[in-house]
Amino acid sequence: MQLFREKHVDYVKNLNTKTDQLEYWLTEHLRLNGVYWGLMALFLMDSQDAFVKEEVIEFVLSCRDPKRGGFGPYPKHEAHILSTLSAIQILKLYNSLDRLGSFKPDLVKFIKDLQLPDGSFQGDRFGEVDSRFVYTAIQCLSILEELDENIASGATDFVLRCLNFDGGFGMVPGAESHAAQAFVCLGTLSILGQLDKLTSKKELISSWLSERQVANGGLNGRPEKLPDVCYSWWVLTGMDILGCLDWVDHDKLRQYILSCQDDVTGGISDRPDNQVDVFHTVFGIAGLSLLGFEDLVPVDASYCLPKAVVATIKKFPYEI
Amino acid sequence: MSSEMETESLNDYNWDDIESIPIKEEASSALCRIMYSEEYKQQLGYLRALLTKQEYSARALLLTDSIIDAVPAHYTAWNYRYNIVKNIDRDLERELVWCQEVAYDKPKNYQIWHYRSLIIELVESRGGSVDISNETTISDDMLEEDSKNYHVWAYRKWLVRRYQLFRDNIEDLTTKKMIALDVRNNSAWSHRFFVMLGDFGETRPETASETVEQEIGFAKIMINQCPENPSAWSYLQGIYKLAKKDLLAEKEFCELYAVGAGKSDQRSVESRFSLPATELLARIYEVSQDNSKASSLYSILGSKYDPMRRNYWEMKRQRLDSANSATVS
Repeated sequence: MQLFREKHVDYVKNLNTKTDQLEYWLTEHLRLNGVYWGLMALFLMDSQDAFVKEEVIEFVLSCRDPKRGGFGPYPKHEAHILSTLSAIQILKLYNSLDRLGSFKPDLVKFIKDLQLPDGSFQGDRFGEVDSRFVYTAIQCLSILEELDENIASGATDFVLRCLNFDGGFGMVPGAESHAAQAFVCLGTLSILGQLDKLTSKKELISSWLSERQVANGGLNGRPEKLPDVCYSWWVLTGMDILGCLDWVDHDKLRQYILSCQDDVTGGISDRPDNQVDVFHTVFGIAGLSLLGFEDLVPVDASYCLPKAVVATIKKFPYEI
Repeated sequence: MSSEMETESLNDYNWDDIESIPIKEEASSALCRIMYSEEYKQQLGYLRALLTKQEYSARALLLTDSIIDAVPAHYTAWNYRYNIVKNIDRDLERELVWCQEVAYDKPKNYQIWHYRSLIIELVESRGGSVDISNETTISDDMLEEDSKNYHVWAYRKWLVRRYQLFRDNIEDLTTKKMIALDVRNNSAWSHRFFVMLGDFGETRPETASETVEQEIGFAKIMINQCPENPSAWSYLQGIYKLAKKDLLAEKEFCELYAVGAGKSDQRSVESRFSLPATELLARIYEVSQDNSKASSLYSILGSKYDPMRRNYWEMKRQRLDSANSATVS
């Protein structure tokens, strides 16, 4: 089976034209994230021209929450760290961070103010804490090149506390190991240049990640759970970051991802024959890119941006 | 819809003063418009308008109920609801009942658990208290529906930490019961580790060592029931690591279930083969310098029993062999 590249491009391109469907409205709270997922899928297929750059940038800027300084998922929604990262990633993909202009100081302040004394980040003023938000905030500040030692050490400490006895990472310290949390914790350490803090635990972590492959080739998020295409990303990235990508069977995983494509509408689903969505589409494609299949644009495991884009980000710790 | 929605409807309130803020005109070609979509779009329009006004009112509270019902992950609606509750002197007990109804109605609604914890904190900050057993019952009910619901388990851990329920009788029994129902339920094992050992190092040394011995015993009983279960083996190894105990003590236990351990003739390999037992045994051989035995286990794991991860096993074998030859030469 092959990657239905053209079908996927069409699928992503048409997402925003479905405003007459209920699903469009029910996903309003994820719209900016959705735009990033779609755009990133297009970039990986070298088809970014399917979106009109200026329209996308205008939409991103319209999602800014002037009161908080961050971005909401849709105009007039409250700023949240998840949608803020999507906004920054989109602008970075388009090499258009300068469009932030005078908004940038407030944006940086919004992100930094979300950090709590224990080094974790809350997603917004509402106070929900999740290692996902730590990663998201750190990536935001990294792209904006606004990290500092204080923020980095707090985030590193928190993420390390999320590491469990089994070699997985949880949402907060003590919470059950989950592959998505492994991605965000390892991604945080990677972006901050702190992977050496894992020292002797690297092999246990890598081993836990490699145990996620199930008989049909797909990867799951926790022991005994069903495989899901998005874990191709959450699990593989951690393995790539730790340098053990070949501890799972690449051909079997490729077959699994390709079997989740919809050959009529385009798009990729979580499991074969399920409804496709843009989230699983981008992470399926990104997984294939990480494995080096299908002649896709190379993706960076820590940022989920093209490697060429990440190469332009100043690495932390910054040289003075 | 939660039950409050059944008794109270958005139409009970007057919205004439609110000019809904739509985002953009719809494409006129929309053929298969869904009525509910219109209704939901109007609610989003009201939400935008009320947020702009920062209105804290009963109708705004009801509006958030309706939007959260349609879209459980609507962060803005959750934040708004919390602010309304704080500002209109909403009866917090009623709010907790509302939370419970939303949770029962939509088991996949993850935000509700963080929200519930915020309401509890609000109750306590106002000098009130909540009945912990009620919290336990609600999460039990939820876990009965979905025994691996990540956010319910996270909430349960929040309770254990906040109310110091480490080694609490109910937590002990609940996790035992859930593991008995499904010995491979990793969530239940993770919770048990937290409940039993989450405060390790902060307790009296006698308590700690007593718990460690007890839980090693528990893990081994469960392994006997299902030797290939990775969760129980992780639990066992996690305890050894935490307590800094020597795993050598489990060599014979591992040999019962590992392949190629010289005891396979005493049993049917197919029925008792355990990958985690074999891996742990290889590690024990490695640590005790029994390298040739370790090497042959890694070899057979990669070639026969776990070929999807053959590169992992091969790495281990090669590392061992090169260490071996280094010592020899």
